[in-house]
Amino acid sequence: MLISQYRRSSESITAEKNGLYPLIQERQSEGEKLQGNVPFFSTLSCPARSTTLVSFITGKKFYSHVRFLFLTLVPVLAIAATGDIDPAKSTLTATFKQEGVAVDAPFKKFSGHIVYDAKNVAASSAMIDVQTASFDMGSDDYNNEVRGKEWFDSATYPDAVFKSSAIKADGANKFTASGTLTIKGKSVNLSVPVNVQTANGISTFDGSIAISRAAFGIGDPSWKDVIEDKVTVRFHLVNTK
Amino acid sequence: MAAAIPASASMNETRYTGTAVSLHWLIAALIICAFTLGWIMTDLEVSPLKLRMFNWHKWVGVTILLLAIVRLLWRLTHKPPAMLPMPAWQRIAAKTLHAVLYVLLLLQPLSGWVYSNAAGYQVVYLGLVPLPNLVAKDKATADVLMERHEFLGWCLLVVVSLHILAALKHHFVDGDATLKRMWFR
Repeated sequence: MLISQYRRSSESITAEKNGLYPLIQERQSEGEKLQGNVPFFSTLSCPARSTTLVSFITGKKFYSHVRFLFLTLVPVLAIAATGDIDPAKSTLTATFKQEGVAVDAPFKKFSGHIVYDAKNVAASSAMIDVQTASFDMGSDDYNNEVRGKEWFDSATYPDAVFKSSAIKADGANKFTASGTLTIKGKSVNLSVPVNVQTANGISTFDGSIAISRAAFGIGDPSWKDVIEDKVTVRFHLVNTK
Repeated sequence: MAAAIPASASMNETRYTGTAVSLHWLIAALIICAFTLGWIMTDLEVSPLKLRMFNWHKWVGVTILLLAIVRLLWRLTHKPPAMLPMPAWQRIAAKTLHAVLYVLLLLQPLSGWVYSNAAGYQVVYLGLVPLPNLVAKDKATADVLMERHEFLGWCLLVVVSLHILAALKHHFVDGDATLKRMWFR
Protein backbone atom coordinates (compact mmCIF):
# COMPACT_ATOMS: atom_id res chain seq x y z
CA MET A 1 0.00 0.00 0.00
CA LEU A 2 2.76 2.39 0.96
CA ILE A 3 4.68 1.58 -2.13
CA SER A 4 1.70 2.05 -4.35
CA GLN A 5 1.06 5.45 -2.82
CA TYR A 6 4.64 6.43 -3.19
CA ARG A 7 4.60 5.36 -6.78
CA ARG A 8 1.39 7.21 -7.39
CA SER A 9 2.75 10.46 -6.06
CA SER A 10 6.02 10.16 -7.94
CA GLU A 11 4.02 9.29 -11.01
CA SER A 12 1.89 12.36 -10.64
CA ILE A 13 4.95 14.57 -10.26
CA THR A 14 6.49 13.32 -13.50
CA ALA A 15 3.06 13.40 -15.10
CA GLU A 16 2.71 17.06 -14.22
CA LYS A 17 6.09 17.71 -15.73
CA ASN A 18 5.06 15.92 -18.88
CA GLY A 19 1.69 17.61 -19.00
CA LEU A 20 -0.15 14.33 -18.44
CA TYR A 21 -1.95 15.50 -15.34
CA PRO A 22 -5.52 14.88 -16.58
CA LEU A 23 -4.65 11.27 -17.35
CA ILE A 24 -3.34 10.65 -13.88
CA GLN A 25 -6.29 12.29 -12.15
CA GLU A 26 -8.49 9.32 -12.96
CA ARG A 27 -6.03 7.02 -11.31
CA GLN A 28 -5.83 9.32 -8.32
CA SER A 29 -9.51 8.95 -7.60
CA GLU A 30 -8.94 5.20 -7.55
CA GLY A 31 -6.18 5.81 -5.06
CA GLU A 32 -8.50 7.76 -2.83
CA LYS A 33 -10.85 4.81 -2.60
CA LEU A 34 -7.96 2.71 -1.40
CA GLN A 35 -6.79 5.38 0.97
CA GLY A 36 -9.78 4.89 3.21
CA ASN A 37 -8.11 1.77 4.57
CA VAL A 38 -4.74 3.35 5.22
CA PRO A 39 -4.05 3.99 8.93
CA PHE A 40 -3.28 7.65 9.49
CA PHE A 41 0.19 7.04 11.03
CA SER A 42 1.26 5.17 7.91
CA THR A 43 0.44 8.18 5.78
CA LEU A 44 2.62 10.25 8.11
CA SER A 45 5.56 7.93 7.69
CA CYS A 46 5.09 7.87 3.96
CA PRO A 47 7.90 9.68 2.15
CA ALA A 48 5.38 11.50 0.03
CA ARG A 49 3.20 12.45 2.99
CA SER A 50 2.50 15.97 1.88
CA THR A 51 0.88 14.63 -1.25
CA THR A 52 -1.19 12.09 0.67
CA LEU A 53 -2.29 14.72 3.20
CA VAL A 54 -3.35 16.97 0.38
CA SER A 55 -5.32 14.20 -1.24
CA PHE A 56 -6.80 13.38 2.17
CA ILE A 57 -7.99 16.96 2.54
CA THR A 58 -9.26 17.16 -1.01
CA GLY A 59 -10.84 13.72 -0.70
CA LYS A 60 -14.47 13.06 0.13
CA LYS A 61 -13.66 11.55 3.50
CA PHE A 62 -12.38 14.84 4.86
CA TYR A 63 -15.65 16.54 4.03
CA SER A 64 -17.65 13.80 5.66
CA HIS A 65 -15.66 14.47 8.87
CA VAL A 66 -16.30 18.18 8.60
CA ARG A 67 -19.98 17.65 7.90
CA PHE A 68 -20.28 15.31 10.86
CA LEU A 69 -18.64 17.83 13.19
CA PHE A 70 -20.76 20.63 11.83
CA LEU A 71 -24.04 18.75 12.12
CA THR A 72 -23.36 17.69 15.69
CA LEU A 73 -21.89 20.96 16.94
CA VAL A 74 -24.41 23.41 15.52
CA PRO A 75 -27.45 22.12 17.44
CA VAL A 76 -25.33 21.99 20.61
CA LEU A 77 -24.34 25.63 20.16
CA ALA A 78 -27.87 26.64 19.27
CA ILE A 79 -29.21 25.48 22.60
CA ALA A 80 -28.31 28.68 24.38
CA ALA A 81 -28.47 29.22 28.08
CA THR A 82 -31.05 31.62 29.54
CA GLY A 83 -29.79 35.16 29.61
CA ASP A 84 -27.68 34.76 26.50
CA ILE A 85 -27.96 37.51 23.96
CA ASP A 86 -29.67 36.63 20.70
CA PRO A 87 -27.14 37.83 18.11
CA ALA A 88 -29.70 37.79 15.30
CA LYS A 89 -31.97 40.28 17.06
CA SER A 90 -29.39 42.40 18.82
CA THR A 91 -27.43 45.32 17.43
CA LEU A 92 -24.38 47.17 18.63
CA THR A 93 -23.17 50.26 16.78
CA ALA A 94 -20.54 52.88 17.30
CA THR A 95 -21.08 56.44 16.10
CA PHE A 96 -18.21 58.85 15.66
CA LYS A 97 -17.84 62.20 13.96
CA GLN A 98 -15.32 62.99 11.26
CA GLU A 99 -15.25 66.68 10.35
CA GLY A 100 -18.86 67.08 11.41
CA VAL A 101 -20.07 63.92 9.68
CA ALA A 102 -21.62 61.38 12.04
CA VAL A 103 -20.64 57.90 10.92
CA ASP A 104 -22.52 54.84 12.19
CA ALA A 105 -20.93 51.45 11.96
CA PRO A 106 -22.03 48.17 13.49
CA PHE A 107 -20.14 45.44 15.27
CA LYS A 108 -21.27 42.30 13.47
CA LYS A 109 -20.11 39.74 16.02
CA PHE A 110 -20.66 39.89 19.73
CA SER A 111 -22.01 37.71 22.43
CA GLY A 112 -23.06 38.24 25.99
CA HIS A 113 -25.04 37.18 28.94
CA ILE A 114 -27.51 39.36 30.77
CA VAL A 115 -29.24 38.03 33.83
CA TYR A 116 -32.10 40.35 34.64
CA ASP A 117 -34.53 40.04 37.47
CA ALA A 118 -37.11 42.84 37.58
CA LYS A 119 -38.00 41.97 41.16
CA ASN A 120 -34.43 41.99 42.35
CA VAL A 121 -32.55 44.28 39.99
CA ALA A 122 -29.49 44.42 42.24
CA ALA A 123 -29.00 40.69 41.66
CA SER A 124 -28.78 41.24 37.90
CA SER A 125 -25.56 41.05 35.95
CA ALA A 126 -24.31 41.70 32.44
CA MET A 127 -21.34 40.62 30.38
CA ILE A 128 -20.87 41.63 26.74
CA ASP A 129 -18.03 40.39 24.59
CA VAL A 130 -17.52 42.21 21.30
CA GLN A 131 -15.24 40.98 18.53
CA THR A 132 -13.36 44.11 17.53
CA ALA A 133 -12.52 42.70 14.09
CA SER A 134 -16.21 42.59 13.27
CA PHE A 135 -16.52 46.39 13.16
CA ASP A 136 -17.96 47.04 9.72
CA MET A 137 -17.35 50.42 8.14
CA GLY A 138 -18.82 49.20 4.86
CA SER A 139 -15.55 48.98 2.95
CA ASP A 140 -12.61 46.59 3.18
CA ASP A 141 -10.07 49.43 3.20
CA TYR A 142 -11.53 51.00 6.30
CA ASN A 143 -12.30 47.68 7.99
CA ASN A 144 -8.68 46.64 7.63
CA GLU A 145 -7.56 50.02 8.90
CA VAL A 146 -9.61 49.87 12.11
CA ARG A 147 -8.39 46.33 12.85
CA GLY A 148 -4.83 47.59 12.64
CA LYS A 149 -2.41 48.34 15.47
CA GLU A 150 -3.27 52.05 15.69
CA TRP A 151 -6.94 51.31 16.22
CA PHE A 152 -8.39 48.14 17.74
CA ASP A 153 -5.29 46.03 17.18
CA SER A 154 -7.65 43.10 16.74
CA ALA A 155 -4.85 40.60 16.24
CA THR A 156 -3.56 41.23 19.78
CA TYR A 157 -6.86 42.27 21.38
CA PRO A 158 -9.65 40.40 19.59
CA ASP A 159 -12.27 41.14 22.25
CA ALA A 160 -13.71 44.22 23.87
CA VAL A 161 -15.50 43.27 27.06
CA PHE A 162 -17.98 44.97 29.35
CA LYS A 163 -18.54 43.31 32.69
CA SER A 164 -20.95 44.71 35.21
CA SER A 165 -19.96 45.07 38.84
CA ALA A 166 -23.21 46.55 40.17
CA ILE A 167 -26.71 47.07 38.80
CA LYS A 168 -28.93 49.70 40.34
CA ALA A 169 -32.64 50.12 39.61
CA ASP A 170 -33.67 53.59 38.39
CA GLY A 171 -37.42 53.12 38.56
CA ALA A 172 -39.65 50.99 36.38
CA ASN A 173 -37.92 49.53 33.32
CA LYS A 174 -34.72 51.44 33.97
CA PHE A 175 -31.44 50.60 35.58
CA THR A 176 -27.83 51.70 35.66
CA ALA A 177 -25.19 49.12 35.02
CA SER A 178 -21.84 50.05 36.52
CA GLY A 179 -18.86 48.05 35.43
CA THR A 180 -15.64 47.84 33.55
CA LEU A 181 -15.15 48.25 29.83
CA THR A 182 -11.94 46.73 28.59
CA ILE A 183 -10.75 47.55 25.07
CA LYS A 184 -7.26 47.06 23.74
CA GLY A 185 -6.07 45.92 27.16
CA LYS A 186 -7.16 49.13 28.88
CA SER A 187 -9.99 49.12 31.41
CA VAL A 188 -12.27 52.03 32.17
CA ASN A 189 -15.00 52.10 34.78
CA LEU A 190 -18.30 53.42 33.55
CA SER A 191 -22.00 53.52 34.32
CA VAL A 192 -24.45 52.78 31.56
CA PRO A 193 -28.11 53.82 31.78
CA VAL A 194 -30.30 51.06 30.36
CA ASN A 195 -33.96 50.82 29.41
CA VAL A 196 -35.48 47.39 29.63
CA GLN A 197 -38.64 45.97 28.10
CA THR A 198 -39.85 42.47 28.87
CA ALA A 199 -42.44 40.65 26.80
CA ASN A 200 -43.18 36.92 26.68
CA GLY A 201 -40.21 36.23 28.91
CA ILE A 202 -37.79 37.95 26.54
CA SER A 203 -36.02 41.06 27.76
CA THR A 204 -34.74 43.79 25.50
CA PHE A 205 -32.10 46.21 26.72
CA ASP A 206 -31.54 49.56 25.04
CA GLY A 207 -29.12 52.34 25.77
CA SER A 208 -26.06 54.26 24.76
CA ILE A 209 -22.82 55.37 26.28
CA ALA A 210 -20.24 57.91 25.18
CA ILE A 211 -16.64 56.79 25.48
CA SER A 212 -13.30 58.37 24.70
CA ARG A 213 -11.09 56.80 22.04
CA ALA A 214 -8.02 58.24 23.72
CA ALA A 215 -8.85 56.50 27.01
CA PHE A 216 -8.38 53.18 25.23
CA GLY A 217 -5.61 54.27 22.90
CA ILE A 218 -7.80 53.75 19.83
CA GLY A 219 -6.62 55.77 16.85
CA ASP A 220 -3.24 57.35 16.34
CA PRO A 221 -3.02 61.01 17.51
CA SER A 222 -2.57 61.98 13.83
CA TRP A 223 -6.29 61.32 13.39
CA LYS A 224 -7.46 63.55 16.21
CA ASP A 225 -8.10 66.62 14.02
CA VAL A 226 -10.22 64.59 11.62
CA ILE A 227 -12.09 62.23 13.93
CA GLU A 228 -13.57 63.31 17.25
CA ASP A 229 -12.41 61.61 20.39
CA LYS A 230 -15.95 60.95 21.54
CA VAL A 231 -17.56 57.75 20.30
CA THR A 232 -21.13 56.88 21.15
CA VAL A 233 -21.87 53.20 21.49
CA ARG A 234 -25.52 52.31 21.07
CA PHE A 235 -26.85 48.92 21.94
CA HIS A 236 -30.08 47.03 21.44
CA LEU A 237 -29.64 43.69 23.14
CA VAL A 238 -32.29 41.00 23.07
CA ASN A 239 -32.12 38.00 25.35
CA THR A 240 -32.88 34.53 24.12
CA LYS A 241 -35.91 33.00 25.76
CA MET B 1 -22.89 102.91 -41.55
CA ALA B 2 -21.57 100.16 -39.38
CA ALA B 3 -18.34 102.06 -38.82
CA ALA B 4 -20.35 104.71 -36.94
CA ILE B 5 -20.80 102.28 -34.07
CA PRO B 6 -17.70 102.22 -31.86
CA ALA B 7 -15.92 98.85 -31.90
CA SER B 8 -16.23 98.49 -28.13
CA ALA B 9 -20.00 98.86 -28.27
CA SER B 10 -20.37 96.16 -30.90
CA MET B 11 -18.15 93.94 -28.76
CA ASN B 12 -20.41 94.61 -25.76
CA GLU B 13 -23.48 93.28 -27.50
CA THR B 14 -21.82 89.92 -28.00
CA ARG B 15 -20.18 89.69 -24.58
CA TYR B 16 -21.46 87.66 -21.69
CA THR B 17 -22.33 89.64 -18.56
CA GLY B 18 -19.75 90.02 -15.81
CA THR B 19 -21.80 87.68 -13.60
CA ALA B 20 -21.93 84.97 -16.27
CA VAL B 21 -18.18 85.30 -16.90
CA SER B 22 -17.36 85.10 -13.17
CA LEU B 23 -19.60 82.07 -12.66
CA HIS B 24 -18.11 80.36 -15.72
CA TRP B 25 -14.50 80.64 -14.57
CA LEU B 26 -15.25 80.02 -10.90
CA ILE B 27 -17.04 76.79 -11.78
CA ALA B 28 -14.24 75.87 -14.22
CA ALA B 29 -11.64 76.25 -11.46
CA LEU B 30 -13.78 74.25 -9.00
CA ILE B 31 -14.28 71.44 -11.52
CA ILE B 32 -10.51 71.15 -11.87
CA CYS B 33 -10.18 71.05 -8.06
CA ALA B 34 -12.92 68.44 -7.64
CA PHE B 35 -11.56 66.27 -10.44
CA THR B 36 -7.98 66.40 -9.17
CA LEU B 37 -9.06 65.66 -5.59
CA GLY B 38 -11.28 62.83 -6.77
CA TRP B 39 -8.49 61.33 -8.82
CA ILE B 40 -5.87 61.48 -6.06
CA MET B 41 -7.97 60.66 -3.00
CA THR B 42 -9.38 57.40 -4.35
CA ASP B 43 -5.86 56.04 -4.88
CA LEU B 44 -4.62 57.02 -1.42
CA GLU B 45 -4.17 54.55 1.40
CA VAL B 46 -6.46 55.13 4.37
CA SER B 47 -5.10 58.16 6.22
CA PRO B 48 -6.35 61.38 7.83
CA LEU B 49 -5.44 63.17 4.59
CA LYS B 50 -7.58 60.78 2.56
CA LEU B 51 -10.60 61.49 4.77
CA ARG B 52 -9.93 65.23 4.53
CA MET B 53 -9.65 65.09 0.75
CA PHE B 54 -12.95 63.23 0.54
CA ASN B 55 -14.56 66.01 2.54
CA TRP B 56 -12.91 68.74 0.45
CA HIS B 57 -14.06 66.94 -2.70
CA LYS B 58 -17.63 66.88 -1.37
CA TRP B 59 -17.52 70.52 -0.32
CA VAL B 60 -16.19 71.60 -3.71
CA GLY B 61 -18.86 69.45 -5.34
CA VAL B 62 -21.66 71.03 -3.32
CA THR B 63 -20.26 74.49 -4.15
CA ILE B 64 -20.34 73.60 -7.86
CA LEU B 65 -23.93 72.41 -7.49
CA LEU B 66 -24.95 75.68 -5.80
CA LEU B 67 -23.12 77.82 -8.39
CA ALA B 68 -24.56 75.74 -11.23
CA ILE B 69 -28.07 76.42 -9.93
CA VAL B 70 -27.31 80.15 -9.64
CA ARG B 71 -25.83 80.07 -13.14
CA LEU B 72 -28.82 78.28 -14.57
CA LEU B 73 -31.16 80.83 -12.96
CA TRP B 74 -29.01 83.65 -14.35
CA ARG B 75 -29.08 82.09 -17.77
CA LEU B 76 -32.87 81.65 -17.67
CA THR B 77 -33.39 85.26 -16.63
CA HIS B 78 -30.73 86.82 -18.87
CA LYS B 79 -30.59 86.42 -22.59
CA PRO B 80 -27.12 85.24 -23.60
CA PRO B 81 -25.41 87.19 -26.41
CA ALA B 82 -26.19 86.08 -29.93
CA MET B 83 -23.85 83.44 -31.24
CA LEU B 84 -21.03 84.57 -33.48
CA PRO B 85 -21.30 83.72 -37.16
CA MET B 86 -20.29 80.10 -37.68
CA PRO B 87 -21.45 77.11 -39.69
CA ALA B 88 -24.78 75.61 -38.65
CA TRP B 89 -23.25 72.32 -37.51
CA GLN B 90 -20.93 74.20 -35.16
CA ARG B 91 -23.86 76.17 -33.74
CA ILE B 92 -25.80 72.97 -33.11
CA ALA B 93 -22.74 71.23 -31.68
CA ALA B 94 -22.01 74.17 -29.37
CA LYS B 95 -25.61 74.38 -28.13
CA THR B 96 -25.75 70.64 -27.52
CA LEU B 97 -22.43 70.66 -25.69
CA HIS B 98 -23.52 73.56 -23.50
CA ALA B 99 -26.77 71.79 -22.64
CA VAL B 100 -24.88 68.59 -21.73
CA LEU B 101 -22.49 70.65 -19.62
CA TYR B 102 -25.35 72.21 -17.68
CA VAL B 103 -26.88 68.78 -17.08
CA LEU B 104 -23.55 67.33 -15.91
CA LEU B 105 -22.87 70.32 -13.66
CA LEU B 106 -26.04 69.42 -11.76
CA LEU B 107 -25.93 65.65 -12.14
CA GLN B 108 -22.32 65.01 -11.17
CA PRO B 109 -22.44 66.69 -7.74
CA LEU B 110 -25.86 65.11 -7.09
CA SER B 111 -24.58 61.64 -7.97
CA GLY B 112 -21.69 62.15 -5.57
CA TRP B 113 -24.06 63.32 -2.87
CA VAL B 114 -26.35 60.26 -3.16
CA TYR B 115 -23.34 57.94 -3.41
CA SER B 116 -21.93 59.38 -0.21
CA ASN B 117 -25.29 58.86 1.52
CA ALA B 118 -25.60 55.28 0.26
CA ALA B 119 -22.09 54.58 1.54
CA GLY B 120 -23.26 55.76 4.96
CA TYR B 121 -21.77 59.23 4.99
CA GLN B 122 -23.97 62.25 5.31
CA VAL B 123 -22.64 65.29 3.46
CA VAL B 124 -21.88 68.09 5.92
CA TYR B 125 -21.06 71.17 3.86
CA LEU B 126 -17.79 72.73 5.04
CA GLY B 127 -18.10 70.52 8.12
CA LEU B 128 -20.82 72.89 9.35
CA VAL B 129 -24.07 72.50 7.40
CA PRO B 130 -25.54 69.00 7.39
CA LEU B 131 -27.28 68.31 4.09
CA PRO B 132 -30.23 65.91 4.05
CA ASN B 133 -29.61 62.27 3.27
CA LEU B 134 -31.17 61.53 -0.12
CA VAL B 135 -30.92 57.74 0.10
CA ALA B 136 -30.53 55.23 2.91
CA LYS B 137 -27.23 53.49 3.61
CA ASP B 138 -26.95 50.39 1.44
CA LYS B 139 -23.80 48.69 0.21
CA ALA B 140 -25.24 47.43 -3.09
CA THR B 141 -26.70 50.85 -3.94
CA ALA B 142 -23.42 52.50 -2.97
CA ASP B 143 -21.45 50.24 -5.31
CA VAL B 144 -23.73 51.09 -8.24
CA LEU B 145 -23.74 54.81 -7.45
CA MET B 146 -19.96 54.87 -7.15
CA GLU B 147 -19.68 53.52 -10.68
CA ARG B 148 -22.22 56.04 -11.94
CA HIS B 149 -20.37 58.90 -10.26
CA GLU B 150 -17.09 57.75 -11.78
CA PHE B 151 -18.67 57.31 -15.21
CA LEU B 152 -20.21 60.78 -15.08
CA GLY B 153 -16.78 62.09 -14.07
CA TRP B 154 -15.31 60.67 -17.27
CA CYS B 155 -18.23 62.10 -19.26
CA LEU B 156 -17.53 65.50 -17.73
CA LEU B 157 -13.85 65.18 -18.60
CA VAL B 158 -14.69 64.40 -22.23
CA VAL B 159 -17.30 67.15 -22.57
CA VAL B 160 -15.11 69.77 -20.86
CA SER B 161 -12.18 68.76 -23.09
CA LEU B 162 -14.32 69.20 -26.22
CA HIS B 163 -15.53 72.55 -24.84
CA ILE B 164 -11.92 73.74 -24.29
CA LEU B 165 -10.72 72.45 -27.66
CA ALA B 166 -13.58 74.19 -29.44
CA ALA B 167 -12.89 77.46 -27.59
CA LEU B 168 -9.20 77.28 -28.49
CA LYS B 169 -10.06 76.47 -32.10
CA HIS B 170 -12.31 79.57 -32.29
CA HIS B 171 -9.62 81.71 -30.70
CA PHE B 172 -6.53 80.54 -32.53
CA VAL B 173 -7.77 79.00 -35.78
CA ASP B 174 -10.87 81.07 -36.59
CA GLY B 175 -9.55 84.15 -34.78
CA ASP B 176 -13.04 85.10 -33.58
CA ALA B 177 -14.18 86.52 -30.23
CA THR B 178 -15.76 83.34 -28.82
CA LEU B 179 -13.19 83.00 -26.05
CA LYS B 180 -12.79 86.75 -25.50
CA ARG B 181 -16.46 87.32 -24.82
CA MET B 182 -16.31 84.80 -21.97
CA TRP B 183 -13.16 86.41 -20.54
CA PHE B 184 -12.94 89.16 -17.94
CA ARG B 185 -12.96 92.73 -19.27
